[in-house]
Amino acid sequence: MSIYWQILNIGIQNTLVYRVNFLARALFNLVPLVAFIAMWRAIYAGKTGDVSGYSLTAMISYYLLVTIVEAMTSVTEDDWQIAADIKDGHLSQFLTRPIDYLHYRFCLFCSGRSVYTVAAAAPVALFVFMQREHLVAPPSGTAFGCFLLSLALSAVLQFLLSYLVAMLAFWVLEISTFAFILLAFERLASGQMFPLDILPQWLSQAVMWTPFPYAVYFPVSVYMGKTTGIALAQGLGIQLFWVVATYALARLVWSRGLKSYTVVGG
Amino acid sequence: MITQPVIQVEGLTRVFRTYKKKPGLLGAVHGLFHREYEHTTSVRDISFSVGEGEFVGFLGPNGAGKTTTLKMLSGLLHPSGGAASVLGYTPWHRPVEYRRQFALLLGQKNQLWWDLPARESLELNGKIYGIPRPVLESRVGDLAELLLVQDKLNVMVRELSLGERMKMELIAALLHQPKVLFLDEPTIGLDVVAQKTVREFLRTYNRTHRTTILLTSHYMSDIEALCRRVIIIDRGRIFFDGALDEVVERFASSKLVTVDLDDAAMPTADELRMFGNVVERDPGRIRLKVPRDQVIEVCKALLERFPVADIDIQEVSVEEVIRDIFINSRNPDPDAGADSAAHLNQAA
Repeated sequence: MSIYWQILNIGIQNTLVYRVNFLARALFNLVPLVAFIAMWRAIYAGKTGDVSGYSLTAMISYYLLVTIVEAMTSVTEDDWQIAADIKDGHLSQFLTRPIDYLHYRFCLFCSGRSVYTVAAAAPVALFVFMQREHLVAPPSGTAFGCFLLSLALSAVLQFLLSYLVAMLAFWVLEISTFAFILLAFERLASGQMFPLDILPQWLSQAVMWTPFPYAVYFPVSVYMGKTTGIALAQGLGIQLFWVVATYALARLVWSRGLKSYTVVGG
Repeated sequence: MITQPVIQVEGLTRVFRTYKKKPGLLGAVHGLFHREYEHTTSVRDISFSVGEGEFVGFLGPNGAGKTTTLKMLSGLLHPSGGAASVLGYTPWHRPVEYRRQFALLLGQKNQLWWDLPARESLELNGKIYGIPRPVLESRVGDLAELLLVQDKLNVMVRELSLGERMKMELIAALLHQPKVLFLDEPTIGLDVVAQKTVREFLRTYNRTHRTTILLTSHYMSDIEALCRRVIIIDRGRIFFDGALDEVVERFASSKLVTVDLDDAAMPTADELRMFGNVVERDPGRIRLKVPRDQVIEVCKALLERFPVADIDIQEVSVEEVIRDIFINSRNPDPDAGADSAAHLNQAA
């Protein structure tokens, strides 16, 4: 266990070297948020009543929560670093030592997230404070507990998805195309751009079977009390399924990749 | 003294498949539909064994297969054929127990955290190998002292000199006291002083810990200082495996004859040519490379023809002998070919 603390520790130290970049990124991540809020204000200004069951306050609340969830769970540079390790042959040093690369990377991901969360805390908190009349509290302690659980699962899931894409570096020279494809799907289907339940019901229901909503939309909707009861249990189940499935796939792809690494030449 | 060999290699072979692109744009388009591959044999049926505590030098020109062999023995490459066992394990199965007991140091790769002091990477390695803290502290202290980098442990790795960095890499590789150590060009690019420190360190370490070490280096001085046994590989084959001293005896085709004589009686270059290759011709001193079997005759003739003050006969340097071996093998004229085939038979 202490090995993981040590990796977390060294990862945090290393990330702190780039604290200014992190702070800048956290700050500029607020720009699209401002744009979204302005857009919805304009939409609501010309209407009376709710949009797809969202009041203006709930809508702004949604985007504030998306920002918080993203800060805590999304992958920033891990996929590039993993792909670089594979391409430059840095992976060799992990293969010759008694250490599991997936565990190692996950610890580093966690350290990156914790530093980013702290760095982003000040600007995001300030922004949320400015919009405080729009941030709703979770309806119950249970909802908040489930939110935290799905938040953790979302982090693991996003890490594993990126890990999988990065593994492609075993076979292709440049993973950026694949990373962009994944990002494009994630943008649309994760709920980053808009709450998924404003889509036609058949579409939003179909999307809920893919892993993407469990990155952002699902935890946010749990927090907001929009997903409760059986839907909540089912959602957590699907989220857990995707975590297990991507983990199993990551292990499989890793062993395949390693085969090509050691056969083609490390 | 040597009981069970630590490294046992039997007929190890490694073939690489490389995509052969035809020249130009058309070639690139053609490659999209139909790829031609070229098979190159990097290591060809090599066998050798190394006993505990041996310090073996791997020699060979670039692309001879040295690094490929080390990578196979470290489990980073699957062989195309043959077998190997290190400490009783098959390296490319990469069992955890094996990984706990050996280390590979690639001189051109960096395993330390670039933006942090080396101490952090060393502590991480300590945890990876499960070394208790006090033991780790004392090992780091001892190794850093021997390598003269005690005061650099808290400096960012990116601010270290190349030599200091390599020393830290060595410390990182040795923390868990590996039984087998593979060193690929550990002194590459280092200045003379750092090279000497690393060399002396390795010699002491090998003696005190009885670590089995396989070393590749471009610097003959490394090999001469450290390895009593050398394995020379060329184009994937073992060309020679034996004591370093034997290399000169067996492969040096000529000796160096140094003649001191009166300035006034200096022979001309033309006059000297009949005796052998003129290596040096300074006032008062001539140095000739003379085929081994003609040394005595040449010396006699020199003594008769010129007022010789002193005459000295030496072996040519190992470095030169090895360079000649490689040059001959690169220019396969029929004579040299027959020659090296004969050597190969002798070696086997």
